[in-house]
Amino acid sequence: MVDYQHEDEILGKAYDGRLMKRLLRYAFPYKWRLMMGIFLSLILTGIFIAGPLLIATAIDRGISRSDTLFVIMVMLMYLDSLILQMAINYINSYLLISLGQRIMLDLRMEVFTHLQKMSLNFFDHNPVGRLVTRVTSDIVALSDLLSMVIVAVINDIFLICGLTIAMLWINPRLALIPISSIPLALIVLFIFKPRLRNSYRLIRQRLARLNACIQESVAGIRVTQVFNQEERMMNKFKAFNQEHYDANYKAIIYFSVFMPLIAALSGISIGFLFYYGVGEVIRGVIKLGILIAFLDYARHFFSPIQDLTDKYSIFQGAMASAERIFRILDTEEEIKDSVAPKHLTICKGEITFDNVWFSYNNEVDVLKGISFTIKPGESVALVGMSGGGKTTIISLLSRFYDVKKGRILIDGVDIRDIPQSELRRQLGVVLQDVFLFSGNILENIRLNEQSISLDRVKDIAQYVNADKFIEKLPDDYLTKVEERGTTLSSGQRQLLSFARAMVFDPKILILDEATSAVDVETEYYIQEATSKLIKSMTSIIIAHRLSTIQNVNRILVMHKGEIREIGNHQELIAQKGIYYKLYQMQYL
Amino acid sequence: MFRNLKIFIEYLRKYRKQFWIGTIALFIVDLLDVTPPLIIKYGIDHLGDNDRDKKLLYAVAAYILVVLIQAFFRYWMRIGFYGMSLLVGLDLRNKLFAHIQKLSVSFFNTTKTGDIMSRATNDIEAVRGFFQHGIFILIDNILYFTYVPIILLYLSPRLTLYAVLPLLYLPFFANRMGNLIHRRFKDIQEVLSEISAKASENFSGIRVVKSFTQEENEISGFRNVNVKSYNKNLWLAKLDSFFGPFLGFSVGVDVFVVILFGGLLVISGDIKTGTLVAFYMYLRQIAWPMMGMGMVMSNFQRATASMDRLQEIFQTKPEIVEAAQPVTAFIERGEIEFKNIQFSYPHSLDRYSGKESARTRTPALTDINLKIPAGSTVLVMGPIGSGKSTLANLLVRFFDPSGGDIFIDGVNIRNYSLGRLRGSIGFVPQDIFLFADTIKENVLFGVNIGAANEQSSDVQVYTGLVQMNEVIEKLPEKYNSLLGERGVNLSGGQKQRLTLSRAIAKKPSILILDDCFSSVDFETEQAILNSLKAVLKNRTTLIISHRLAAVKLAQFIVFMEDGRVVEKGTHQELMTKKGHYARFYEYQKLKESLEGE
Repeated sequence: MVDYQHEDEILGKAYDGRLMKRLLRYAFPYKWRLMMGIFLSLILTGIFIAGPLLIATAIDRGISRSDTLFVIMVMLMYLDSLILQMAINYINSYLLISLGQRIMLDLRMEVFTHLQKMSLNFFDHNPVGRLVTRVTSDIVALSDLLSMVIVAVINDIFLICGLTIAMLWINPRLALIPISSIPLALIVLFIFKPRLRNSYRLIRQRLARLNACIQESVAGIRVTQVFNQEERMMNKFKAFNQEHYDANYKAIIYFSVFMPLIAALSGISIGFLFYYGVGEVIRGVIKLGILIAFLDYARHFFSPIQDLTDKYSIFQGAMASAERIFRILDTEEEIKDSVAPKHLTICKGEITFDNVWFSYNNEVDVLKGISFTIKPGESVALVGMSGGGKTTIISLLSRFYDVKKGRILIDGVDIRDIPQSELRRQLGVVLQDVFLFSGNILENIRLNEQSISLDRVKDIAQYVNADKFIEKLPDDYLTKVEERGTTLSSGQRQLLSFARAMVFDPKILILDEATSAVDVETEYYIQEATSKLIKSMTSIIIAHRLSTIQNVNRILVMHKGEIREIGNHQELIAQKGIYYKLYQMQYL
Repeated sequence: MFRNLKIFIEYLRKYRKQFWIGTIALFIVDLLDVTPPLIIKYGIDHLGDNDRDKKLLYAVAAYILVVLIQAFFRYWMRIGFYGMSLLVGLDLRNKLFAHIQKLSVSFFNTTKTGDIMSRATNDIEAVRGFFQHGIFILIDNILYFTYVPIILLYLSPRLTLYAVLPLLYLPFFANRMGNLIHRRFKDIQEVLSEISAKASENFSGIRVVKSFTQEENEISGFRNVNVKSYNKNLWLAKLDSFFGPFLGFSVGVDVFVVILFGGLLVISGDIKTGTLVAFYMYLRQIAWPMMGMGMVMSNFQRATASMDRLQEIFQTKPEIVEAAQPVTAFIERGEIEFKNIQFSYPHSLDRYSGKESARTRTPALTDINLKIPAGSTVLVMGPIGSGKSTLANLLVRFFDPSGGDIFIDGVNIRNYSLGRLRGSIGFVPQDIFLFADTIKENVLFGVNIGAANEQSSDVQVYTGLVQMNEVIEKLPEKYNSLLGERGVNLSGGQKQRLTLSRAIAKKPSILILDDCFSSVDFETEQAILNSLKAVLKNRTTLIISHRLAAVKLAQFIVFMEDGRVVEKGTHQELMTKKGHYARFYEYQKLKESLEGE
C-alpha cells in the first residue's frame, strides 16, 4: 500500500553504472542505427568546428584584404555548410529519437509480456496502479533519458574532443590556455559532484516519504477525521514537506555556486585567451579571424559541463525508474511450464486431487490434505461456508497457484506437467465476479480469439440462453460494454460469462455460482443453462442454488480446508452433519 | 488560459523578496552580458594604437571583472528564482494537504487515490516549473531583447537592420511550431492514457486472461496500442527534429548576412572590424533567448492546465460543515436519539466498493426512530447491507442525513463543533486501518497531542484490554515496533484489536464498535468483551455485529433490515417474539456452531 516509501533506497555509484549498462544492452539490436547516429554526430561536430574557421577565413583573407569576391565565395561556402548541417542534424535527430522510441517499445513490451507470465500471487501483492505506473511513467522517464541525456552525452563528448583537436591543430600555444583550465574545472566538478549526487538522493528519499505521507493520509482519512487528528497529520506533513524543501534548497545552493563558478572559469580563460591572443595578432603570429574563432571555441568549451549538470536530475529520475522496471523483470515467474511437458491427447476430463495441501502465505493452511476423484462426465458440487477452501480448489485446478504438497491430476497426468495454456484450454471457467473488458458483447464472449466466428458465438449464446437479452440490446452483439460495466445486470453478466466459457469448447466446466439475486426470468434462464451445462461435461461447481445441488452427481462438503462429507443431497441431509446445518441455515 | 494568472501573480507578490532578488540579479547579469563583445571590440579597434598594451590590459581586466561580478549575481539570480519556486511548491503542497484533510468522506469515495497523488506530485511540479523556468526565461528575454538592439543600433544602425530583418519571423515561427508540437504532444498523451487503460484492464482482469489463455492475444493487443504510440511519437519527432536544427540554421543565416554585408561595410570603410566582430558575437549569444520564447509558452500552458486541476480540488467544499456558532461543550452523558432519519448515499455509490451499484440506489436508511439511553450498551444486528454501519457513519457525521435529525444529549449533532462531536465518540470502523507508525503512536492516536507523552504503561493498559500485550511483548521493539510494510507483520485480527484499543484510549463518552471482531476468533472476542465490561460501564456503546458474543452484554438489541429498524427490545423479548431477530439468532447460532466443528 505504501508504494512510494518502498521504492527508494540509497543506490550506490556502481549500481547506477550497472543499470546504465543493462539499459544500453537494449540498444544492441539497433547497433547499426546507433553507429550511423554516432557517425553523423561526428560529421556534425566537424561542420560545427568548420563554421568559425570559415568566418575567420572571410575576415582574414577577405575583409582585411578588401577582397569582396573572396568574402562572398567564403560566405557562400558557409551557407552551404549551414544547409548541410541542418539536413544532417534533422536526419540525426530523427534517427536517435526514433531509436529511443524503438527501445522504449521493446522495453514496454518486455515488461508487459513478463507480467503476463506472473502468477496470481504476484498480482495479489502488487496493486494494479503500481503496475500501470511501471509500464507508463517509468518507461517514459527512460525515454527522456534515451532521447535527451544519451544524445547530449554523445554530442558533448564529441564537442570537447573536436574542439581540443581543432584548437591544438590551429595553434597549439593558444590552445593551451582553454585546455589548461580544464583540470581546474574538473577539480570544481569533483568537489561538487558527490555533494550534488548526495543531495539529489536526499531529495528523492524525502520526496518518497512525502508522497507516502499523502497516500497514507488519504487511505486513513476516516480515521483521522473521526479521531480529530487533522492537525496532527497536518503537522506531520508540514514537517516532511519542510524537510523536502530543505533538501531541495541545499541542492540549489550547490547548483547556484557550481554553475556560476564554471561560467566564471570559462570567462576568465576567455579573458586570458583574448589577452594572449591579441598579443599574438600584434606579433603577427596569428590573424585576427583565427583569434575570433578561438574565442568562439573557448565559449563552447565549457558548455558540455553545464549541459550535463543540467541533465543530472533527469538522469537520476531515470535511474530510479530503471531500477523499478528491472526489479519487475528480475522477478521470476512462480509457475513455470515443465521442461519435459506431457500432452493430453484426448481430454476425457477425469480430475483427481491427491492429498493436496495449500496455503497462500505459508502460514495458515487453506487446504489440508484434500483427496477426491471426479470421473469423466461426472458433476460435483462444492459446498461449505466461506473460507472453507472452495475457491482455492478451483484456483489450484486452473494452476493459478501451485500446490504446497500432494498433486492434482487430469486424466492421470499431473497438471504441473501439462503446459499451462493446454491445461487452461480444457477448462471452461465461470467466475462469480464477471469481469467485462471494454469492447462489445462479441469481443467479451470470444475475447481476442478472432478465429471464432460470429455465427459460432450466436449459436453458443443461444445454447446458454444468453441470446435472449443480447438480442434486446441496441446493437445486439456489437453493443459496447464498459470495464466494470454498469450497463449489464449481474444476471446478464453471468449468462454472458457462460457463453464466454463455452465458446472455447472446454472439456471441464468450472463454475463459481454467483450469489447475488437476479430477476425471476433471468434466474430461470441461468438455472436452465446450468443444468444443461453440467450434464454435458465433467463439472465442478461452487454451488449456492438448490436446483444446482440437486442436479449434480455428488456433493463435497468443504469445511476448514478439509472435505468433511461426501454424498448426494438426500444422503447428506440424512447424515445430519455439516451439510444439514448448512441447509438449515440457507432456509431459515 | 489567463484565468489562473491572478493566482500566479499572487504568488509573485507573496514571495516578492525572492522574486526581486532574482529579478534584480538577472537585470545585472544581463546588463553585464552585453559588455564582453564591446570589450573585445575595444581591444580589436585599438590594435594599432601606440599604448595598445595598456589599453589591452585594461580591456582584459575589465572583462574578468565583469565575469566575476556576473558570477556573483548569477548566484543570487538562481537563489532568487529557484528559491521562489520551491516556496511556491512548499506552499501549494501544504495548502493541498490541509484542504484534503477537511474534505468529506464522499469526496474520497468518488476520487481515486491515484488521481489525488498525481495532482499532489505532477501538477504541483508543473506549476513550480513555471516559477523556476518560465518566469525566469520570460524576464531574461525581455531584458535581453531590450539591451541588445539598443547597443546594436548604437554600433551601426545599418548593420542592425541587416541583422534583425532575417530574424523577425522567428518568434512567430517558434510560436506556430510550438502550437503544432503542443497539439501532437497532446495526441501522444492520449495514446499514453490508452496504453495505461489497456494495461490497467489487463492487470485487473488477469484471472480471466489466464483462464482463457489469452496472454498471447493480450500481448499483441497491447503491442498494437504501443505501435500506435510509437508512430505518433515519430510523427512528433519529425517536427521536433526539424525545429531545433531550423532555429540553428536561421541564426546561421543571420551570421551569414551580417558577415557578408558587414564585411562589405568594413571593406568600404563604413564600420570598423571590431564592430563587425561585436555583431557576430551578439548574434551567437542571441540564439538561445530566441528559442526560449517558445519554451515560455509551453511552460505556461502546462502550468495553467495543472493549476486548473489543483483548483478543482481547492474548489471542492467539504460537504459536512459546522454550524456558525457551534456548541463547544463536551458530550457528557451520551444519550442518543435518531429522529425520522432518511438517508441515501450520494452519487448512488456503493459504500464498500465505490462502484455504482443497483443496491444502493434504494435509500440506505428509512424512517429510523431510535432512542439510546445514556450509558447503555446497544447491539445493532441485521444482515449485510441493512444499514447498520450507515447509522454509525451518520452519528460521527461522515454524512448528514437527507431527512430527520440526530440528537446527542438533546442537542442536534449538527450544532456541535466537529471537534467536540467526534472528540466525544470512540469509533472503531469496519475496515482495519493503522498508520505506518509505532504501535504506541497508533494506540495513542486520538489522545490530545499535549497528553501524548503518556508512558508506555498507559499504552499497555489499552492494549491489555484487547488481549494484545502478550503479542506485543514478544516483538523486539515492543510498543515502539513499527507497523506497515516495513514494520512488523501483525495478523488481521491483531490489527483489528489495536484499532479497538485506539478508540478506547480516547476515553470517549460514546463508543461505536462497527463489526470490529470480524477477523478475531470467537474465544478472543469473548475474552475481549469480558475485559471491556468495566470500560463499557457508564459509556453509551453501540455494538454493530452479526455475531452472538455481544448479546449477553447488550441491554437491548436493535434489529435492522433493508434500512429500517424492524425489531427492538431485550434479547428475551425478541426471542419470544419469534420474529426476524429470533430467526437470525438461530441462523447465527448454527453458523457459529459450524465454525466450531
